[in-house]
Order: sequence, then C-alpha cells, then structure tokens
Amino acid sequence: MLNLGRVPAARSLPPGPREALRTLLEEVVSTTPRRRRWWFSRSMVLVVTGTAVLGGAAAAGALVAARPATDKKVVRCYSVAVLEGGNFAGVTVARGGDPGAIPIEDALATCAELWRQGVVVAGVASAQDPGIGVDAPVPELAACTLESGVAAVFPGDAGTCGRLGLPDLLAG
Amino acid sequence: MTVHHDVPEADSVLWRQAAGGSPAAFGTLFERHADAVYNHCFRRTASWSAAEDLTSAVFLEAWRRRRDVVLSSDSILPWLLAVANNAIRNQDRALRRHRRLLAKLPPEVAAPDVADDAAGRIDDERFMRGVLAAFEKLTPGEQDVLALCVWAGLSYTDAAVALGVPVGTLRSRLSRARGHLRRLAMTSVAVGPAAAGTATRANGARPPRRFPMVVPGSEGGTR
Repeated sequence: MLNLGRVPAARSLPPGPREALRTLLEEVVSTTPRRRRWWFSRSMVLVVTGTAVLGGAAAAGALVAARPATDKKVVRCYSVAVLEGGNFAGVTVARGGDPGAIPIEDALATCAELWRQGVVVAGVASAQDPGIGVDAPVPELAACTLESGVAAVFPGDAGTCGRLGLPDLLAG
Repeated sequence: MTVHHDVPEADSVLWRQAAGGSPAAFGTLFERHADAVYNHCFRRTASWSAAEDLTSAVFLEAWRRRRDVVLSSDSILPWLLAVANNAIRNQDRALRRHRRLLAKLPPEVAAPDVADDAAGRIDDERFMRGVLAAFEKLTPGEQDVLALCVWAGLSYTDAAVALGVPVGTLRSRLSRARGHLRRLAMTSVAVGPAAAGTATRANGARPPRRFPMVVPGSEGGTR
C-alpha cells in the first residue's frame, strides 16, 4: 500500500563527499571577511552597561516640556521606564574613537536597533549579547533629556517623559 | 566520583560562533544536520546524486544568508530545510549560484565495497519516484508542509518557522493537503519498481505492485 508517510530509510551522506564538503565549508567560513557589528561600523561602542549612577537626573527642578540634548557623546537606552534611586537599567551607547557626536535625532533609532537585536531586553539591567538574526519586537519608545543633558530613550508612550519628570528630547 | 557528561553545544551557540567566523562551529552544525538535509533533498528529488549536490548548495546558501537565520526550538534545522525547499524548487539557479565553490568538490568516485549500497540506492530512487508521482499532484505549498511535517518529522511550530507562516496557516494547509490526498486516493496509484523505472535489483526484480494510497494522518508534526 502506498503510504506517503513511508519512504525509503534515511541514509548518511557518503563519507567521501561529506568530508570534502565539510572541508570546503570550513574554508568558506574562514576566508569570508568578517563584517563588523553595526555600532562598530558607525564608530560607536557600548561603553556602559548595567547599573550606573544617574546623579540625580530625576531630581530635575523646573520642568520644561522639551529640551535638546547638550551632551551629544552618548545616548542611554533604558530597559524600563524607571528613574528611581538613581540606578540605570539599560545600555549606554557612546561614540568610540572619533571625537564627533552621535546624531541625537537618531537616539530613538539607535535604541530601537538595540531592542531589535536583543541587546536591550525589557527589565534587564545589562546589555545582552546580540543574537544572530534576532528580530526582537521593539516596544513603543519615548525620547527624553536627562538633567545631565544626555538623551535617554525609555520604553513607553508619549507621556513617559512627563511621568518621569523629564523633558521630551528636542532635536537640535 | 563525579561523572562529567559532554553536553553538545546548542545550535544557537554554534551558529553565533560560526557567524562570528568559527569554521569549526560551522563544521559541527554541518555534521549535525547534513544527513537530515540530504535525506530531505532526496525525498523531494528521488535522486541521491541530486540530493548530494543540493546538500552542498544548501549549506553554502545557508552561509550566504547567515544574517537571515531564524532558529526554532533552538534548532537551525527547520531553517535549513526551508533553504533546501527553495534550492529544490530552483535547483538550477541554486547550483549555478555556487558553481565556483562546488567545482572545488572532487568528482564522485564509486568504491568497490559499496556495490550493495549502490543497489540499495537505486531501489530507493525507484521507490521514491513512485511516491513523488502521487506527491507531485499536490500544490507546492501542500508538498512543502507534508515533506516537513510527515517526512522530516518537524513539529507544527518548527514547520511553521521553516515556511514562514503562522502555525494556524500551517495547520490549515496540512488539512487541505490531507483533503487533497483523500480525493486523490479515490483512484489507486501504481507505484513500485516496474511502475517507476526499468532498473532491476541486484538480488532479483520485484513484481510490480498496485497500492491504494494512504493519507498521512497525525504522524509527524505533533512534537
């Protein structure tokens, strides 16, 4: 009786071709130029992960609705929309090598990319290894400006900065 | 006394190392999944020789598309089989794309001690051609889902990842494939050595057989 579930028993790839193919594949891998991770290719490096002292950013005095970032060397990508205790859960992205500044208008895109790659994970304090081919969901993000003048991107809606006592990030 | 067991590295770990430039990690992944890919390609082509060429093309293509990898249940196999499906469907293009590298592989040499094995492979091919004669009456989508769930034994989830569709879509596609097979089963299908080819077994030819078609039920796809 023809049973489409019944097919010839599995066989192994013969040893000769197997060995030759494995050797070829290993040669291909070893001779392929390595592409640098995107943040290296843009002369950027992750410099701070995990917990860091904010220096009382939450204790901002007079709150303005929006403010540009004055420290354009770094962007902070928070994994939670919390500023309590001065602790920082997330990842700081900074430009390495070049003296130039990170285009602050890219703060949202920068952090969104880290979420997508699985480097920033909701609620996790430190950076995770980027997964190969990871396409993790990116939550809604809100860009604010810390008192120190650093752009900070939090998971949350448009009202997040206000709830945290921070001004929205103003491009400029 | 403490006994240490070697725990094999997960595919995700090996893939990350391989994509980072480790030939040994890619070699280990190849060893782990080469036979599954080889047999999948054989079932879709009824040719061990074509399966060998396609297996080479699949792993070269997997390396070329290494940034597109999607792991399912921490296994890269579903994705490799998806690459294989594309390579099978566009066989000429897949082989042409990697012809420069494939040309480096030594030509096939038949060793005398594999004569029995060769006869068995010829039988396999003849039988499989008969199966494919019925199988190819299904739509390409139905063929893919049956090949992955029934022949390759992937779970619904893994097969859905391989095909890039939601699990619900996969289930309905599988259901349609079964319905299609039931309709085809209204007519019996002749398969077997005489129906599929003219080669004879080394130990004597079998008489032709006439088989009713059996629709795969819940085998496969339930893990």
